[in-house]
Amino acid sequence: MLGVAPRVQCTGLVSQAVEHLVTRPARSGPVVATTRSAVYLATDDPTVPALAVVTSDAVQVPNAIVLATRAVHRPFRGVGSPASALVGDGSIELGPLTVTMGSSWAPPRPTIRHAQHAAGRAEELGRLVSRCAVPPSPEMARPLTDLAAGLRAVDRHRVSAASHALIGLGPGLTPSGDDVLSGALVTGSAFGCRAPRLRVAAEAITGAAETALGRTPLVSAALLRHAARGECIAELAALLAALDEGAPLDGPLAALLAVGHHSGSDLARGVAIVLAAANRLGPARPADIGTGCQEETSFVGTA
Amino acid sequence: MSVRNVVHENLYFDSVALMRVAASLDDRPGIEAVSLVMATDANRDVLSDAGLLTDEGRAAGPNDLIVAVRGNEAALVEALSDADAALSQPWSPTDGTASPSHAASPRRLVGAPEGANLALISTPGRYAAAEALKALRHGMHVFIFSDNVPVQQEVMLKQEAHQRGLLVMGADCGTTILNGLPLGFANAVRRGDVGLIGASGTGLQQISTLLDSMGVGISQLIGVGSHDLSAEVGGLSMLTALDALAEDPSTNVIVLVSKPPAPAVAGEVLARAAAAGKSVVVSFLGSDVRAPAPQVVVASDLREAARAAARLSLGADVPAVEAPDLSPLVDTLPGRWLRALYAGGTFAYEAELLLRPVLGAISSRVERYAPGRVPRLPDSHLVLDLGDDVFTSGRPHPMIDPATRIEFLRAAVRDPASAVVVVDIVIGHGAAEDPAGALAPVIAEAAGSPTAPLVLAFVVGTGHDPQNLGEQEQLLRDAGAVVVDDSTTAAEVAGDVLTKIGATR
Repeated sequence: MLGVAPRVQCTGLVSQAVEHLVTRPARSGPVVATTRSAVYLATDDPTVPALAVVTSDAVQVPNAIVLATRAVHRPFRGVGSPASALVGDGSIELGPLTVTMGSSWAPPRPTIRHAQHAAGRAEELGRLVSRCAVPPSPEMARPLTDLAAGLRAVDRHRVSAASHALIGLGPGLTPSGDDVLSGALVTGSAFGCRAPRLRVAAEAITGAAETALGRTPLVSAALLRHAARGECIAELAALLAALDEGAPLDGPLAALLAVGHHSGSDLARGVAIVLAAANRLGPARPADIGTGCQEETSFVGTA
Repeated sequence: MSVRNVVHENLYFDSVALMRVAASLDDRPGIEAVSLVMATDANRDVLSDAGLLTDEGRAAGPNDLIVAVRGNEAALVEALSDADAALSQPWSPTDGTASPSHAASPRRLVGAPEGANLALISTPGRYAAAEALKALRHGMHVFIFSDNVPVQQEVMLKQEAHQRGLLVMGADCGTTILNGLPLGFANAVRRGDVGLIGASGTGLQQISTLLDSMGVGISQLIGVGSHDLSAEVGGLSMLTALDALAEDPSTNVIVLVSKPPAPAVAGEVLARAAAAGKSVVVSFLGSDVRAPAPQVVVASDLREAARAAARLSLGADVPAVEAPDLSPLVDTLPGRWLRALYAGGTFAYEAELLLRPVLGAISSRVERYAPGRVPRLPDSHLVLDLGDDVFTSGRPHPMIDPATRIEFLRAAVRDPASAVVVVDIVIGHGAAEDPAGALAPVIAEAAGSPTAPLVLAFVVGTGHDPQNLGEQEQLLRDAGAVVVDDSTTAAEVAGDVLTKIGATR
């Protein structure tokens, strides 16, 4: 039957990381991906190259506008790709769907306060990940080994080369390699000044992540950008919190591994690689001790 | 063995869906290898190393999906066909009405009819500002029925409107009539030359209906929202509306009504009123403002405001309506307390204002109220605003849903300590279908009892309202209530009766 499809109205909670794109005057941009539980839009902001409109039961990525409805209600029915969307002035027009901005939410930015203690759990986490996570695809083996070795050796060039090799590598909308790098970036950011010897390597990963646009799906490049700022999904933040607080890891790790088919596993792998490096590097040398770390610095100067 | 690549441009699937499709193709007879990956540089290298990349795949980009299959020709055709089918499963983007050329529909406000210049916003308060802002940016005046809009957002909206020469009515705006078009709660009043502006919805309704009863019509009736005259908002909308009515050739008399404004705001509004070039009646209930100029008239209650405006419009005094003398009833009333149960917040405020000097202490709260339970009435005079959040949490306003007021009314007429019960009935567009009919049985039930209190009622409305003023009044009279003309009279009559009771007991 011919006719005009009815418009559907939803309210969405907007991530503060993308709020500025929704509140500024409206601009159109392409829909780059549509799945049952998410629609991804390209933006003209290179620091936030994509934003996601997701259902309440989808993974809440840091650039997400979260709808109150679940995927089973098919809110994105009729939203095509390619297509264009209009974003701004407090709403998003997606084909027949209008998403009005509700309140905002802050994407998690985990912090590790008890650096030495958390790093000391590297072996425990590594064991759990190798036992429970989806194994990496064979092509991942080499760059993963290089990344871990480069981090342990504080070898900026090796970390950089491994990171570049991992970008866009592997299956999935967010290729496995990108997810590993995201896990590593968020963990490095969580340690921050409490593990200064990781900083050089973390900068190398960030440098690689900044070249991801055009080398990996836009959606994945965008999530790498958020990871470089320390922003992540709640499941990853929960694992890092458990590491920090000395809490059992099984529960948070299981929740993380349930994200996507392999994304959770790869994120956990990235955490484990950085944690192992932090543990191996041990206490910071006096020369590494930077300034500006105002909070607890237990990882610095303790044996 | 052959290798085929099918590239789906810009086709994304979550990993689980991709793995499901890959798994459905693997292990088939004649199929040697399958890979579904995004066509990134890294993945194309991997496919190339595995002998799974063709020219089609080589030309694909990182936002494209490659389905790469190696196997015998017959199995390949079938596998790729099945892959296409699997990628079109219900979770896929190709489902539904979308097509590759589908473009976003026009924004609703952009798609509004040519010349539309007003948006009515009625959403939960937290979402109202965003919608209102959109409307303002599309050049529309905005009426915000929603309450619970944060005051900072109201200020932001009104500043935006001011810059654009537009008017924001609200938030928490109950009533407006623009060019005869009623918005929210409004009465069917005659058209005329009096323009009303108010931060009090029921106050505006009372004055406009009294004017109607006096043969005076209105040009415009503009609600500005209950917080407009606060120090934070600064009367931005009242000032804008005042300027608009000052310019409006069909308006000769302007009426401003509100509970007490913030002092600085009152000063600014009065100064603007003095410069309006038209007669302005100011009724800031409970405020001690003075007229700054001869053309500004200060009225201390709603009835006086209506009479002053009518006098200015007609150029002649309006005959006063005699209030009923209820002195003979005083000895028959068992109790001594007032139970004033208002749906209109402004009426409750006005009643307290008029009666406190006469009766002394008046309670405006009840203890431990819970919906569905018999309310406990205090051992004192009581004036309640049953539209207050305390009573409307989880249920509609008493102008729409009488259930809460019926509970209080029943408790009041059965309480031997009650002497006078006052109820207001607000009719008109948006109000309940038969508000008097909902209360009448409770009034009638008590009327025969020797301990029944006096029930005083007034109906805010006109003969042209859907519920009909005369019919609603008659229902109340038939039930045994004494019906007076307006809120001010009701408070005065109640005060008179209770004063006499107090003097004799």
